[in-house]
Amino acid sequence: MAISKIVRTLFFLCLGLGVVTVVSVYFMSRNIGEQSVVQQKNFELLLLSQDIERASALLTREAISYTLTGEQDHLDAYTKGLATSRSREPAIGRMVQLGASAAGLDLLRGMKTEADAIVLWEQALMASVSGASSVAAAQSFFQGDHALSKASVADLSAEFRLLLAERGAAGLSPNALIAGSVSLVLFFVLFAVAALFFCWKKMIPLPLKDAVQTLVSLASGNVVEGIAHVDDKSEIGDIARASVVFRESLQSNTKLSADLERFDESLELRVEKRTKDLSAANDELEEFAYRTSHDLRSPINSSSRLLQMVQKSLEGGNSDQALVGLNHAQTSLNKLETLISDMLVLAEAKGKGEDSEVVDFETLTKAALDKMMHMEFYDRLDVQTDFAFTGDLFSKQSRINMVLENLISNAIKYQDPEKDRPYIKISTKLVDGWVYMEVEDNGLGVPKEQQKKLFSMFQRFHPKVSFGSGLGLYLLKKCADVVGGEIGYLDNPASGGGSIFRLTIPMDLAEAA
Amino acid sequence: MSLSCVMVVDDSEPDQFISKVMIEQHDSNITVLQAYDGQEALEVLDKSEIKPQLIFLDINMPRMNGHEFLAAYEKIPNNDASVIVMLTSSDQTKDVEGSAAYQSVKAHFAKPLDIAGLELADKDLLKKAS
Repeated sequence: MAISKIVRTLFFLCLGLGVVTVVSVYFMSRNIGEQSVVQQKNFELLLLSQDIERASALLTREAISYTLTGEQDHLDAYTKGLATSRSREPAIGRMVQLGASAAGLDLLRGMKTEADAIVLWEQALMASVSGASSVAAAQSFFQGDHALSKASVADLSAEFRLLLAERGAAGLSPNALIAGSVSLVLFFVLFAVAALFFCWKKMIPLPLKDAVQTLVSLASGNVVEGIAHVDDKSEIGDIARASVVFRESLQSNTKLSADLERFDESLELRVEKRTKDLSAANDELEEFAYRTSHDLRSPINSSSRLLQMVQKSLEGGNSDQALVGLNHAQTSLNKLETLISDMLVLAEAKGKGEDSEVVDFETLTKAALDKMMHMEFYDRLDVQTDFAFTGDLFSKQSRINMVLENLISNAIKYQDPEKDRPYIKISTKLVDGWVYMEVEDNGLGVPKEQQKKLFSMFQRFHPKVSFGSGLGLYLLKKCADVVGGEIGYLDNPASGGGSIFRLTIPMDLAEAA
Repeated sequence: MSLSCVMVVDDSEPDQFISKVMIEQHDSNITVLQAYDGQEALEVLDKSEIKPQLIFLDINMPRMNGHEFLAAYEKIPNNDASVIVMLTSSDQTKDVEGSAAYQSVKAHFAKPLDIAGLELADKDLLKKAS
């Protein structure tokens, strides 16, 4: 049953108890009023009966005094009293008015009759006083008959009083008593229930309502500020403390979902970026596959045709022509070999996992130069070095070495034969937290309009002197990507031109990534 | 009009050699002009006194590739509008379509050049053009 329903039931119970109490008090008071009227009447009736008896006694005394003394005063008093009281007609009339019972009236009439008989008796005695001896008259007063008459008046009076007493007792209704006690009990019950009700309401339903509101609010996802009754020892306190726990979990849930949302967003961004990267890589791969298949097939087809031509030449006895053809076939196949080996290097450079280590430019450069020493026209070059960067560069050494070797090799290959003092300069320096590795020469350089495509795959820029597969600089760009850096080309500002290739590397690959 | 001058634009020495031999086999009186990239081809065209009636053009070359050459060639005022035949090892749609967009390009041959191709170019293409 809902608390509010209990409260309402209790309220109506109190109201009902109040009404019953008021009604019973009303009836009780009315009964008491009635009772007092009855008692008053009885009292008056009693007085009237006593009056009759006393008046009778008084007259008798006067009559006795007169007979004994013969004094006129007593006779006068007797006569006067007789006129006012002895007949008692007014008293009876009053009793009828008061609604005396029939039995009571009979008794009173009996008393009157007896008293009247006594009067006659006394009058006869008093009359005898004037004629006969007063002593004899006095004696007559104490004789049995007179006394008997007096006693009968007293008896009737006593009987009447008894009757009155009975009636008075009967007038006190037992219903009124019951009503009185019931209303008293009800009043106390009402008071107690009302008091209990207000205490209880303050202790249970109101805090319970607060607690329920708090829980309902929490359930609908509101972080409720200030939860009451937390310090209560009662079950309400338990609920309030539980609410605090729920609120905390709600708060952390809210935070979690916000975090999740943020994570979701960043994930989406990351997925988007990855997808873009992947799609770019895929495009590049497709281009690579296409170019590769083209460049692989071309020398094979050419060689095959050249060999046919050589065969024909030999058959025709033209051995000079055959030698030229063989020479070209050789060139073609060499080109194929270069391409395949470059492709292998590229695949390795792209895919190989490698731990970072401290890169020693000086040692790498020395080793690279030693390796290139036997290249054609190497001896013409003036080799200069300037390692201004002396710190510890933490990166992937083999990739940096690949860039270095290729750039040196290119500088040797693409020398400008028209220059008197061809040179190559390998240098390092630290600029804004980035390590610059530069390979500078005064060779053929790259025309402005070609520079844009310099690092794309399968590009060759030097007519006739171009021996490469067109993959060299593309490979270097891939290496730069792997070390988190960039590779770029600058025109050599020195007179006569030339090229400067610059590899930019972050100081620590882990931090850059 | 018989074929008297042909230009081969190709950066590959062996392919140049094959083309030259084939052309000479076809007709030893034909003059063969050689260029190793688009840039050089433009220079050769500019300097040469006799203009080629037929140009065999490769696509993938250093400095200036076949497509760039075509763009530049068609801009030359009063050019004699030689018949250009793409001679490449690429049969990729992209490259074929890229070349076909130029009106001077009349055919697309796969490398290396053979006699049948030469005869086709000589008889059909040149006659249609003239």
